[in-house]
Amino acid sequence: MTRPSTVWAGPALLAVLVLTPLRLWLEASLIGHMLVQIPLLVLAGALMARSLPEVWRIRAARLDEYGVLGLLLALFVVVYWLLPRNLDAAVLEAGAGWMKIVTLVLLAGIPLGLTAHRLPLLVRGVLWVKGTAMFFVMGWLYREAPDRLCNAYLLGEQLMLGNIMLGLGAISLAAILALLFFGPPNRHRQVVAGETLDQSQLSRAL
Amino acid sequence: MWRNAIYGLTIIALGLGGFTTLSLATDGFRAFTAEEARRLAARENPAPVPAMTLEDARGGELDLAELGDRYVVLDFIYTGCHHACTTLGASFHRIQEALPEDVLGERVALLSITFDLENDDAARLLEYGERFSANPEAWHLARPKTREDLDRLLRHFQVVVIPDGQDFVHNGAIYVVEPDARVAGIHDIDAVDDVLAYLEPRW
Repeated sequence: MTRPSTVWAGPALLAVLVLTPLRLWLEASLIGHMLVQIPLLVLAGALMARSLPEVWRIRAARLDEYGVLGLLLALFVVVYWLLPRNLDAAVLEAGAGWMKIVTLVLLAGIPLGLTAHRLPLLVRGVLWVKGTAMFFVMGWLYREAPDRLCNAYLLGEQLMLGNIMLGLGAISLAAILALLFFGPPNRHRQVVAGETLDQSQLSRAL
Repeated sequence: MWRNAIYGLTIIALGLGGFTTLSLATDGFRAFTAEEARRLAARENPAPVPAMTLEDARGGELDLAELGDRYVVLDFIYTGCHHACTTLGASFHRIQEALPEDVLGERVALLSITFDLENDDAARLLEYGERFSANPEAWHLARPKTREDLDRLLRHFQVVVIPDGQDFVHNGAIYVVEPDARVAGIHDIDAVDDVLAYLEPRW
């Protein structure tokens, strides 16, 4: 099911993120830390989950039929590391920094990779809309906060992060509106069909 | 059916676990930033200042934990600073002027510690004191003896100094140290009234 070339994608991404100077460079800025490094660490975990033996996916499916457990776990872990005091700790204390990497990969990325495809369409929709709203709320908070929220980052960067989050929220909202008005693009319909097939195969495997 | 019930219960358990973890990580949803966390900790669990001798800019040494039976209003500065430290200097000046004569230096002392070991020698610290009309009897100016001492001090107070081009940015604050050497309050750099309101019933 997994092509050999993709087996290395997750570990390779993780290695690049953790073992190269890219780590320091991303952590030196609030935007790089929050909007690039943390999502990419989760993605690395999710990619690694795809190259795990099939038995893991089957076990995950038995444990988490609708993917809600994996999603919840990942959300809690990501929210934990997005708290300003934990972002500070991750940069200023070596132990916390490594803890962040390990938990984001093992407790957010891998569970998501194993179970996210099982999430019902309704949950995905709610997640997308709520996520968009969160980008607006958090973006506005970061933009308007008069004081620095993180001791390790500058106020100007916080303002820029707020603006970028508002921009991402706007793009996401535009995508939701486009989907509402014009319906899903053809390509997407095929992907959804492929996934249902995948799910029925898995349930048959159970 | 049983499977769904167990699944639902697992989701609830995970939710409760996550919620509890986030609650613990934010001191009961009261401190989301490191700054809020250290202020909360100072109010609820005051910790003693580290035992350390500093160089007094007016000559001699200053033992941080042995500043006598008095309250010490403390801050971290660097004299080349033109933003936060100017506000801090002005705040300290206002505190000095607001204290009654029999309290100033006797029951309450002021102490500014520099974290710029490269540039701030005794002469520059004295110049800083003059800029804010520091009373030599009450407002002490000091610098750590070594880089190790400085790092230990900044770590202890959770002062984070980051470079900003040519300047520094730091989480400036006014610290109130009790006569028993515990840091019992961390206030905003311009919160003169809060500091005085805390000290007045106690001096």
